[in-house]
Amino acid sequence: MPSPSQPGGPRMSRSVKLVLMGVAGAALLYSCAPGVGAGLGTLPYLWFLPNPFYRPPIAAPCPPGTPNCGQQASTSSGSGGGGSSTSRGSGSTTTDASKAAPSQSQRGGFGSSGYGSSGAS
Amino acid sequence: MRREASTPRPGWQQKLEELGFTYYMLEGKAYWTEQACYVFTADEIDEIEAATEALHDLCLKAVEHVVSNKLWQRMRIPPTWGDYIERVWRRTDPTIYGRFDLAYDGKSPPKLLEYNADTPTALYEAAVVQWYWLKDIKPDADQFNSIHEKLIEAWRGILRRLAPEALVHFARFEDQPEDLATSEYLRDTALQAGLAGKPIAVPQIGWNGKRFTDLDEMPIQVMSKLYPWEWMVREEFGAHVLTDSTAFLEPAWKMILSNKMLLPLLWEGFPDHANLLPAFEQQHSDLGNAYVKKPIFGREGHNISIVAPGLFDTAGGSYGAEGYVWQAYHALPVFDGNHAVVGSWVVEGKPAGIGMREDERRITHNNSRFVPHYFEPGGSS
Repeated sequence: MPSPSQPGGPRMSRSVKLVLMGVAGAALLYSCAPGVGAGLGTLPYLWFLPNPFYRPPIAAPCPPGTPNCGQQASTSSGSGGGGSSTSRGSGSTTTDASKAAPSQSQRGGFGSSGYGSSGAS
Repeated sequence: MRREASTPRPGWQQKLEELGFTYYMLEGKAYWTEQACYVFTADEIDEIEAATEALHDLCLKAVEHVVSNKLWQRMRIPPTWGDYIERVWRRTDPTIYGRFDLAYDGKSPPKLLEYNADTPTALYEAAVVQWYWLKDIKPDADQFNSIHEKLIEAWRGILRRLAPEALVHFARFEDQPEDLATSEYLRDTALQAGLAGKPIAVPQIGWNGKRFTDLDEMPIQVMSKLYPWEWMVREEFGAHVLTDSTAFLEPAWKMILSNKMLLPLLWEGFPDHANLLPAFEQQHSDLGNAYVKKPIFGREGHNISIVAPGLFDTAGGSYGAEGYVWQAYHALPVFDGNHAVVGSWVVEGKPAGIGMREDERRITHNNSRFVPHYFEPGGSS
């Protein structure tokens, strides 16, 4: 039966799940194997990445004839379009990479609140 | 809607364990039972699905209302967090999942009891374990359950918003079997969507002065956490969240929805909505003499009290310091002495399936039994 919210699409899983899961899936589920990507932290630029869902505002284009249009574009906080001297592309972050030597982190700052439970609901 | 006796599959325990579902007994009592199942009609499933979609839409309006009007004090959220929540909300940080708990008897519209929007569990049993039960017991029947597929699709959507090298850390308490299963299952669906995932225990999360880190001193870019926001807010590392270089799943705007103050807020905004119960910040004449008192930040049924003529039930706990809300009492349907509640899953904002819980008590709690379900074509059961 089609879903009211998904015209023509399945609401029920049917056989798809049986293909996706199974013994291999269950084995993976509890493997707790080190995650793919371990070691990426050694890449210095990761230390300076902003929130990954952040998108810098895009500078509005200047209407033709606007005084200092080029200057406005170059000093905007946008993604680097238009300017050359003050553009903030990702390249500028790598210049600070030498300061990014990972230190030993403090731990235990999360996880102390449980009233005898983990807080899941 | 009905409860139907069912014969357990031969070797059912082994079947569950083969799926990695090892916590079918909790504290010496059955958490999973297949001696019974719940049966719905397609029309009833349609009604639950429509109510879930409608409620989620109302909830998003409620978030906008709170953010626009800066109702942080009312929500018992520190005002210093207001700007952060607004920023996360305005840039539409994604959500993966949530679970509405609904009172539904197949006769009157589903009623919202609460929204487990931040750290919902019972996910693996709803998405996978009951699906395998269906294939074994009722292979020709249907189940309202596309949770697994929708989770993978939700992760694909997140993958499209991240840099190719992005890695998602999955933080949980690893000594809690249900939490571990939920978090590992989420990680499994993320991996199937093409993301890289790495587990970490909540107490192992590090702070190096600039970033949250894992045990390899690797900065955490995206953290799928099974740990409540309202606890994180007040803990030592909470203030570091506000620097906003780590993205969280669920996002911080879910703090508004996992908060029981949502219930009076919704009732104010949408009074007499078919899927809402009257709810207030204090005792109110509209409640009559039958109400449920719930802690604003409460979990697993703790510190909930039910008061009605000839009825008083209460569950102990340590919640309630931030205050309470009062919601009209709406009795759960009782089948063979069991109070049944519908857990209706929302994945990426869309209804995705249900998991049935039941208990001899009126207050559903962490160990209330999970019971599989199926549905039949047609309009009556």
